[in-house]
Amino acid sequence: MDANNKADWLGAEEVDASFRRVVVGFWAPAFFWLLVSGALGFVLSVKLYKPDFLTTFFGYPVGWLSYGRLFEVWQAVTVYGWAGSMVLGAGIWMMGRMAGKVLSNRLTVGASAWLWHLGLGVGVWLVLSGGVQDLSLLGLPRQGLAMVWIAAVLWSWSVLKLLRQGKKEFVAQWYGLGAALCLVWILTTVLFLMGRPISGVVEGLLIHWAKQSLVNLFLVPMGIAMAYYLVPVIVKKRLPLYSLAAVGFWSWFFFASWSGAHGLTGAPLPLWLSTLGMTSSVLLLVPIVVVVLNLLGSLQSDPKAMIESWVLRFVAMGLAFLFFGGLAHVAEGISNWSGVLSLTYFSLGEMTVWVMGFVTLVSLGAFYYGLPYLLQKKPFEEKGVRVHFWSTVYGTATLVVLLLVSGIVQGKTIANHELTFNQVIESGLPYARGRVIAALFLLMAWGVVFLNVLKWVGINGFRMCSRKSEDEKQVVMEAQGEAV
Amino acid sequence: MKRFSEIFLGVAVVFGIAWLATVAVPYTKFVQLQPVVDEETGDRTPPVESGLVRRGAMVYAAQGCAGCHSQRIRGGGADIDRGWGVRQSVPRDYWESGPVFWGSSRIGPDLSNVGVRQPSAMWHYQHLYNPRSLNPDSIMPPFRYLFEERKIVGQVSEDAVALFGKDAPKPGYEVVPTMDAKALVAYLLSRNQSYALPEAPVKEEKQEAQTAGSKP
Repeated sequence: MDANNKADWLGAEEVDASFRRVVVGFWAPAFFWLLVSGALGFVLSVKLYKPDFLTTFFGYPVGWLSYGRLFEVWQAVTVYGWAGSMVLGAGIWMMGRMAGKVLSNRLTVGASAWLWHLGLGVGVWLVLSGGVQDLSLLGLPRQGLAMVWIAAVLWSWSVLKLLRQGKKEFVAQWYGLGAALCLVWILTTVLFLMGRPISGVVEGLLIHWAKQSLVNLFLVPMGIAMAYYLVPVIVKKRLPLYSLAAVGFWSWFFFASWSGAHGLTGAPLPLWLSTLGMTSSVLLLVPIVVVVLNLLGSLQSDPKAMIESWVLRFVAMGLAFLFFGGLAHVAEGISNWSGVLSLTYFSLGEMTVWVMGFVTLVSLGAFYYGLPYLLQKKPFEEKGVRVHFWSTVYGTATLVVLLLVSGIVQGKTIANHELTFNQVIESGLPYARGRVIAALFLLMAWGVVFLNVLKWVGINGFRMCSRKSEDEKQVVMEAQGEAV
Repeated sequence: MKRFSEIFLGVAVVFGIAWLATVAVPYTKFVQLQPVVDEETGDRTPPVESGLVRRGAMVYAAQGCAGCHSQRIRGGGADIDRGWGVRQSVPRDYWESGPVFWGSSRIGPDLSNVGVRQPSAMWHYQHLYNPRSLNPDSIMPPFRYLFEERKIVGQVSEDAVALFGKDAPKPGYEVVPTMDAKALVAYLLSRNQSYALPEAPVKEEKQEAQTAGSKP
């Protein structure tokens, strides 16, 4: 279908074979969680303007269908189940490829995949059954988080081991290293402090900080790592602004580290904390511009590859969402606007544009690129991928725009105290109805990817891909931008 | 990776410094926070929460209420003008170590002072059972599963919820709150930040205005 076949490297067949089971272990349940997320997204968007929708089971009112519980589950399955699982699977495989090493500790990484999904399953069960007793991190209660933490430790340790073994150095590896380190650090902090008798205000700060940090220091950096891997490998060109990539990397981790209090405007905390959070979020636009310029420059150098490769289109559209999300962070970071936009749908929109937009699209690119290599089969058929691409883009873009715009409307109407709260609700209803359409688009997209995989397995069976020559591997390595 | 150690150390330092400032320092600072104790009566401000209120906080967490309601009053905005509070929330308001639900969105109104704005337990029961019975434009979901419909044995129970119209139970039956509903309402009634603190004084007229003021 595209440039997939052009870019095999580092004698990758052995490397890919060693990663096959563990990556599929992360990815297969991820698609189940994605379908759950899509279905919940639809139900929740209807419930927001029709609160009596789906509140009973065989005529009996039940708690597990309540909006609050389903929203928590939606957050958990989207962040941990889908985005988290996809970047963990793609990430470790790409790090292995860049290191040129086979995965020696398959059992450890396999256990990580199992524990990650098991922890999420336990968390979802607790939320639905009403067993949550205190705060949760992005929908995942403490008990599930503890299992996810063990999974994260095993994964990060394996990634760091792979990175240490490799003799070369690539930009994508920097981001992988940073994300692996921060993931464990964030989850350890949350678990350690949540179990202690801490001051309430610290608990409020901690959960908000962890939520922001998990996205800004784990999911998004892993998305950037995947993009930095996929683009040069497929177009086989050096990064045009390679020296700037280091500036982008360090500035990303610097500003993202300080952005934990973003969105806490007016919270009962020292002013410097929320100000630093806001300022850092605004400045995240600097590394975003570096990443986008670097990768778009690389894409522009071979327009044909872009036309041929749907993988590159997924990545390019993901970069557009990354940039758009950066602009949204700038908007909420402006002091006059932050009080209006925080505590509205705008904040949810900011998270959605990066998790459902950037990370999801790049992950799907990695999936369509990687699965044929991992299972040593032919690439996916173009038609199915095209339908999937456009339905995902339309659905995500509609959802993001509606969330951001309705956040602005919501913030402005709440700020006008002469309007009653009923008028605030009324002003948001058209956007709530619009989100149902976005949710249907996304549900369709997730259904299409499922069909694509089924058809692909059915048609291609056990046919193998051919191995590429050593010369070609060298070209790709150079294109990826080996560090000096 | 050629420079594994350098980059590992670099990220650890960059993230570590920010972590110290945004997590560790507030932790050590706020852990020393104490309530204001009246020397004559021994009363604490903010008051100590009862066991039922603590259980109510758990029910609040279990229903995911924080997904739609915040519990923090911001100064300088419309929060106080809307009657959601009489002053800005301060760290001491959250002195007790129970879960703190600052929330992430205001799909519904702020609940920091809902116990002052709406002090009737019966109102909360009716509202939880069917929010639209009290506000036809409400988008809050009903929490009927927190109530039990049962046959009246002898006299109607003291805690039977007064329901009307299509919500009214069939003849000979009554709707009573479960223990979870009672705990949740006790928790909601305890939401009160209208007291004065040394760092957050309250003007008397504002306090009065809130008691007579807007509904949640």
